[in-house]
Amino acid sequence: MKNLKMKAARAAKDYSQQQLADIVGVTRQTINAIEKGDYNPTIKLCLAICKALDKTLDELFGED
Amino acid sequence: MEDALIIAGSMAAAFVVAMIFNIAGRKTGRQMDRQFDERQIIARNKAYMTGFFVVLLLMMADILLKMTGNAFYMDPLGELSAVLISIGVFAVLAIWNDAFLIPTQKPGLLILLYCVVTIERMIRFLFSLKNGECFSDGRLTLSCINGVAALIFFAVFVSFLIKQHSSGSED
Repeated sequence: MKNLKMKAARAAKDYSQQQLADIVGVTRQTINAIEKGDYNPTIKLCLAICKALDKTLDELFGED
Repeated sequence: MEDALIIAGSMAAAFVVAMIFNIAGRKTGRQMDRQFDERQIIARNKAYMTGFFVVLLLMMADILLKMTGNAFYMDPLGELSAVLISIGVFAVLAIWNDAFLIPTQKPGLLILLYCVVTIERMIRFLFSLKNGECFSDGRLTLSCINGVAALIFFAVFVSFLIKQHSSGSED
């Protein structure tokens, strides 16, 4: 399932996938895979993404 | 026999160098899980596993061919080809899943390197073929390993090119 909330939060911050990837220390392909729902990140990476996008875990990865 | 000694010596030297780098990396805190991201580590593990099963299957096929007397190659071409093919399978799978390079690494120089090595191995193989070193008693000799290596490096090179082309822009 696509993670549109993360994509929207990233766009709101005006970050590209590459910029977000550089901030959290992963590849752009990993960010892309998370947004497309192809990869489930660990809680450690989820927290790093939340911190980078100024969002809570629930806001980005919580179920609707 | 001389060829086998050279190959065994080269492999032992490569193993020692790899161990030295591994130990040096640990001492300086540069561990693999700090270089590759978590998705890449999972993808690499799957690629390692596939490569391992490929080498097992090829070794079993090699043993079966020898037992039935149908081996169309001389020792140690079969074993070395199996190892090279499994490394190639690992590399192609890792590249395909964007797990071959660390996040900060740029592939440009590596692509060029694989291209050069492919050409160099292919030239060596063609020279061996021209000089009639590839066949003896109706069987393939160890000189054919250059052809196998050329194919593996070519596969890696092509995988790199395709991935570079397909993942150049953001979705």
